[in-house]
Amino acid sequence: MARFFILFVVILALLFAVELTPPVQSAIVVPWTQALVRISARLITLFDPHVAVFGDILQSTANGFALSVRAGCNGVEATLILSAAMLAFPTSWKRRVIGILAGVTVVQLLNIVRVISLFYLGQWNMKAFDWAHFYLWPALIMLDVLIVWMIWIRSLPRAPSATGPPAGSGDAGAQQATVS
Amino acid sequence: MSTQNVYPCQSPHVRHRVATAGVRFGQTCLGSLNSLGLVALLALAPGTALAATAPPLGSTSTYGVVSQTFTNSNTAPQTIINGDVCYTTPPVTPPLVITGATVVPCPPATGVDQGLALANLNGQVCTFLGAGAITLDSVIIGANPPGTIPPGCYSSGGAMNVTATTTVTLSGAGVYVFRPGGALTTGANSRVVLAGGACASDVFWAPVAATTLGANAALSPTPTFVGNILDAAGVSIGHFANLTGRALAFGGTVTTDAATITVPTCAPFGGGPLNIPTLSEWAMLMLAGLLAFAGFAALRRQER
Repeated sequence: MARFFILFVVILALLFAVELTPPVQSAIVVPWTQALVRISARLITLFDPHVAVFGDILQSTANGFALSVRAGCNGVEATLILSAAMLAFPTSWKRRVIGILAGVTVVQLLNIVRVISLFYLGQWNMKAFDWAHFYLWPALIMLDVLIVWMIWIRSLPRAPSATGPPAGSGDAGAQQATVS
Repeated sequence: MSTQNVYPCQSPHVRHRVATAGVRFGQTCLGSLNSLGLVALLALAPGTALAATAPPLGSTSTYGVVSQTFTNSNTAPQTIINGDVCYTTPPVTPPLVITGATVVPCPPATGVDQGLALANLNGQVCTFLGAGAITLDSVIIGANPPGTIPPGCYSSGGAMNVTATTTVTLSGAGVYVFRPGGALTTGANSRVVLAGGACASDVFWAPVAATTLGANAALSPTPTFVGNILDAAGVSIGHFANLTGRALAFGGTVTTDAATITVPTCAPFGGGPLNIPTLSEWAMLMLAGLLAFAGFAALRRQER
């Protein structure tokens, strides 16, 4: 268990450090953030033509209300925390990869819903926008990550003993779940 | 000189929450009421202009002049530009002072950002001032005196002009967008000034045809014109004109003549778009703690 905790902290620090480097920011984080804005705008245009994208800004052309989706608004941090936990947990690499891919997908999908909902809440009522932005959506995102994490853990095969094969050697590595 | 009366049909309390249906109604009723002259009805509904928002200027925000060709005349005193300048073809005689950087040629990003800002301005719903040419100094908006214009978005089918020696006052904190369907022309010794907390950063001019700011008889220490002019058809700034704003004519010509251009430094209205972080630092810490706790519990269960 101590190994899990130490690995979790180390991997988390490493992932955040890598995420903050300029090459990763310019090659991954910023393009993804702008893609997130464009995807949100595409989805909005399915039912509302009054939306425009300016870089990382999503703006209503009907009344000018604008959201800026920047680093920190893109759900990347939440996925990094989930990924660090999955990488630290003793199981096979295959299960880790599947878990991370599923987790990233679910968190990002929910984040798109968040951006679109805030876009309309802000146009409707700023009190509702603030409440959703500061309280409701952080709680929902955390709940989302926690649910993915719990489902993933429960999907892992239960270790029959503490003397199984070492982690990282394929599916059999999942048996190494009792390392402390 | 004719007087254009504009009576928006929108209530003041909803001006920042413009619904599409309301806008269409507003535009329709603007034209019809104006032509029918239903003064009694208008007295019951004192209007305001349709709300406008400031587009992000991006990389152009530090520039006083963005141009393909920059032409400067050197009748004393010479031109002073407080800000960055970019051009492809330089002036034969450069301005006396350029406090910012001189960039040759204009970075492509300035063209992209100017285009995006223009698209933003053209996408906004405006109060339609009239089908033909409009003289801004005689326009009446709501209960304001002629030539006093509150924040809002205004468009016209033809040119927008300011008559020589007159003053147009942009009054009140907020964003001003002017979209002439033709040229933007100000007469000699005319002024467009700010009042009531208005900021030059929040004033945008996006004419379809060229912009010409008239000459002044004397050097003015205060601005004779304010706002960001986004006009690829060209911007000509007359003798002694004092612009607090930007002349953004990527691909076009900017002409100055002993003019002063100052990039505005006042804080834009509303502070720009809202930032929406997914999780705060505390929320991230809490999430990491929850995952660690759940992981511990799972490992402990597996141990038993």
